[in-house]
Amino acid sequence: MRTGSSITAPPTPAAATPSSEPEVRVVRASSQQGKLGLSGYAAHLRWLVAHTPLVLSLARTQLKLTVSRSRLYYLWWMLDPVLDTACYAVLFALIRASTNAGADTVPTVAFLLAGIVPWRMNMACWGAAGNTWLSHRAILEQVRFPHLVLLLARFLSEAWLYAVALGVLMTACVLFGVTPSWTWLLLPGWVLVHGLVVLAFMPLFAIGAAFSLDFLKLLPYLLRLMFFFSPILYSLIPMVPAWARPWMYANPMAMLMETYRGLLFSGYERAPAVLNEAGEVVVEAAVWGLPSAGAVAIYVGAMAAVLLTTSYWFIKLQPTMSRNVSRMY
Amino acid sequence: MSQAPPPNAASSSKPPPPVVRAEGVGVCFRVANPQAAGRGIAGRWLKPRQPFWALRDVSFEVPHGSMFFIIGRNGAGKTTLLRVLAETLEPDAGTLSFTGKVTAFLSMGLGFNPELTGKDNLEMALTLMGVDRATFPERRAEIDDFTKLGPFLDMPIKTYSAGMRARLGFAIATSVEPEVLIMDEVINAGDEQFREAARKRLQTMLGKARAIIVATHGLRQVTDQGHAAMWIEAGRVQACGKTEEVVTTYRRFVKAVRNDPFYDARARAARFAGESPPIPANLSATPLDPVVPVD
Repeated sequence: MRTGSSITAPPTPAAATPSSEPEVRVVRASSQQGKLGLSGYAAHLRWLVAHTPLVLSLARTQLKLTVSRSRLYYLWWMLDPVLDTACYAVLFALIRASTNAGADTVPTVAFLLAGIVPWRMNMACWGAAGNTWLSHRAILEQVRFPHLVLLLARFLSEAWLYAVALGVLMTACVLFGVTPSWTWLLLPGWVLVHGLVVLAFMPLFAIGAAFSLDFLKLLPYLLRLMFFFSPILYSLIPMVPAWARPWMYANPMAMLMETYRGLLFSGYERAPAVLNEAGEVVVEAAVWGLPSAGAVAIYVGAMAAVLLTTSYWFIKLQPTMSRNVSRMY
Repeated sequence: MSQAPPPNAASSSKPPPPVVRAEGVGVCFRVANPQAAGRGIAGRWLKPRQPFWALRDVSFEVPHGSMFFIIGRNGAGKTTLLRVLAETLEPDAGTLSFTGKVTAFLSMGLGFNPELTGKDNLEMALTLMGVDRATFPERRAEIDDFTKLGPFLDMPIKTYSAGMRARLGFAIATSVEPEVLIMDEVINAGDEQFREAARKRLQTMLGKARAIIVATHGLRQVTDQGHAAMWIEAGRVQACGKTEEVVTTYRRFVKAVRNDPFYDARARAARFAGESPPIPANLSATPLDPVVPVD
């Protein structure tokens, strides 16, 4: 019997044949292969699921690597945003600028930490997505597997560290005088949404790096720009003119960060999202500084659509990226 | 020469099908031709990239139960071909067919991370090769027995010598009893003792595997161990068949071009033009037989 295969598509499982004739697997040139349809996409995802042990093993390895290079081990994951916060806190104190809406109600350090710690997760995952090819070149050249495995493994290892950091963040908030509220119970749900946002854009950065080394050079600056254009060090209410606030939500980070603060700090004045402004589409329920359920649903739907699109293109471009990587890196 | 017959070649009237069959395989990269591109940034931007056939019209068959060697100079296309066989590089032309699961060992270790211990790297590599985690202790013991690394397995790979890395990498790659094993010049990395042990291990494996494909510069190993060989030059198959004949032709070619300082430039230009390399006429007489004859 003969079965077809390509780098994008998983190997077709061998059918049980009563005859002694061995199974023949055929690999055709890219030009002879069909387009990647929905069934091909689904088959690739099944192939990905079959590689779950590899994802977990790579994630474990990544965590071990995190601790193998320093004496402070995992602590660096938390020290990083803490030191960042310290720098920005000093900077803001020096220029005497009241940059956050919660200045009256939210302690500055807690306010900054609530932005910088979640952003650390984005930066770590997106930066790593761009560097995927460089750090796994040897594996990519020798073993045939769905390359999404590499992104998922990195995401899992960073998510594990983020979960720990989030616990530390909440403790820090209490230490700095933030009163815990029932909205903290909603945090795990919002962390899942955060994970979806991070995952949705990881393939995009990996694709960019596989097609241009210049993109890889540009990536840190791109992430820094995103950092400053997102309400991480500031809040939308005093910093952005009222007419422009709804449009700031075109940046997915705005919804993410504003909602984190809405959940962490009771009485936080959160700028309403553009969809809430429309009124007819969703009902505004920003009673506790939180977005309405409709706004969250639309946000999650949009991010899921981004994830589907980016992962589809990542799978479709896997052979081309594989070839580019062997030439470029 | 002690060219052994394939150990598990079928003795029945109907020979088993070839383990690997390549028909007209080609791999093309679009690269800037260093001879055509202008100087500096402007040259890089203005000159269009040209197709460069790393492999062109490569056709061959690897018989069941054989140790198949691929020889050729640096840059001939050996590693590219191995990557195509490992299915990590998709061909632009042609078709490949396999009867058996392919395991590739193309570099010193399967993506070894120098910061991690030998044990961690070993487990990572076994997972990559799809080995069940439950069998790890058994495999680890077997690998330890072959490599004799002992307590070094608990130390970071960065503290290993090149020979120790080679031993570990080879032991891992050959611990899974692959159906088709593909290797790239890894046996020649260690000392004589390791090479001897590796040779023995490969011979033992050949009794169980369907085929072993090795790219190498070690011509003595080819004639000693190989059942068939293929010589690649400038991405094209120049000779394929019995090891002794292929190696002899290749040696004559190397001798002929050694004193020709312009051969490489001519070969590169021919490759960019999509033409055959300028092999001396008296060498290209070796018939290209797509079906490798095995004694």
